[in-house]
Amino acid sequence: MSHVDEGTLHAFLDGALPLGEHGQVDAHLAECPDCRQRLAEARALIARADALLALAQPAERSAPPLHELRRRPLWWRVRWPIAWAASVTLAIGLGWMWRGREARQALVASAERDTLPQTVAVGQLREEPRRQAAQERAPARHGEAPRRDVAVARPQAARADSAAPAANAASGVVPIVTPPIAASDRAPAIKPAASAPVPATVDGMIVTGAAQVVHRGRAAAVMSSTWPIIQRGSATRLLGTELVMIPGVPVKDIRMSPYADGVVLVEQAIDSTLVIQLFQRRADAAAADSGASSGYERQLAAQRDRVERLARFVGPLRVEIAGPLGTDSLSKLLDLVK
Amino acid sequence: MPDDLAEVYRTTYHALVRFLYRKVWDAERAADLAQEAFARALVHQPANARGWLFVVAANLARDEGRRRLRERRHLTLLKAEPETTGEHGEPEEAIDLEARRARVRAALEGLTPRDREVLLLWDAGLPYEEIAAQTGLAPGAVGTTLARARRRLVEAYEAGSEETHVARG
Repeated sequence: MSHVDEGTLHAFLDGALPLGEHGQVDAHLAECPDCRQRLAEARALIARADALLALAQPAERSAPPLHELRRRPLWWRVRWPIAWAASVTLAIGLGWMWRGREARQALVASAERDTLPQTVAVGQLREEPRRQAAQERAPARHGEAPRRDVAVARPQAARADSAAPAANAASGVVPIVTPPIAASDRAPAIKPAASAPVPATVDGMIVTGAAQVVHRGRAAAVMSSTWPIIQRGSATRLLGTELVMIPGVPVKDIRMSPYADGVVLVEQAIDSTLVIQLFQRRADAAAADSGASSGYERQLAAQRDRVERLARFVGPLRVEIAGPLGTDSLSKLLDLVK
Repeated sequence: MPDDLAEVYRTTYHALVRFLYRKVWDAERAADLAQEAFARALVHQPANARGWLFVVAANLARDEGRRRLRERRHLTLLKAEPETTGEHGEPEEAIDLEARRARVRAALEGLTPRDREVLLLWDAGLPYEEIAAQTGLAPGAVGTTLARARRRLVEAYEAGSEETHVARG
């Protein structure tokens, strides 16, 4: 046998040669000092490369049980634009269904954003958006988003409802007042304007009821895809303290604000389509720049996605929770943090 | 066969995380993507689960890479951040380890995609035949490719450390 080439030597050392060939190489090596020398070099090279690769590996953490992967739909983490699209589609469908059942007349004249008699209100919007009022808010802000949705009084229906990045939710931290709905078996319960505090515009629709907050928007408060993902350690260093998160809820991402304002965002997934965002930064930093000047708050104000937000001080942090849930739910979630 | 998959999960999960880590360079993300790959395997029940998983993982990592590319300008922000905390006295070895890890990363990223893929798949425990099947190499060429990849990795790493020393001196 002629000399053994380097590739074959590596395969030999890797134990990857077919039995016959392995024997031939073995036999050749026994009588060829040159090849033995090169074998030793190859062995050293492999050891060195392995050692280098070993430097580049994450700390080994235990794997979650396999059956948990089955239960947790993970695919949306990576593919959640698809989830988004699917929920928009679903929402449009549901919206039409509801309209068909509950607002037949409205359906007829549904081509443009008319005022739906059955619309249920969205609580009371914050001072500033309220002043800017109806007409000027009417134009659609998010091109293809379904803006014809019907607000429904039942939270479940609302959850199934659209992912339309909806209207003008409060851009501040004032909790939205949510008078409880007069319970009715037949959804959607319609509360006439009797107790309605202020007529508000929601995505171009006038709503006057005083029912429970209803959410079509599952949109995140801040479109966080432009927020770089960071590791927990970096986040902790940035905040100077442990992160605040809701126990028992899977953490989707930890991100940092691209505005260099020291805001860390923890996104936690209640289920495959429902993400709660926890914005947090040092309370002293939050006090230093008065609220709205912060980059992410500007982003929020600009996007006006309809989500509820609640802010609270937790230890040394100012934490703001945002998500497409009622304020009472958010409040409960935030309570869990402590 | 779910039982098979459970076994593959037990034996391969960490290797898959490692494989992914060397592509996305973020431990959390690597774990996420590995779990994602297994979650998909649970749905698809592929015949050759291990090979299938690495193909899916490589695709997931590539998608991730594209997304990262878009976010690169934000990442420069991040790079600035650990440096400031470093001043507060991280242990010397930690910094050293971090520097060496960065050099390994640079060396790996300097390899041709095929060399890198073969090296990472081998390190993840795949046999030559499976590496050949995944990369489209002839089975006889895996050894040669691996030999080249290893040599270039070591050379690039050493060149990187010389550079650092020159820069320091």
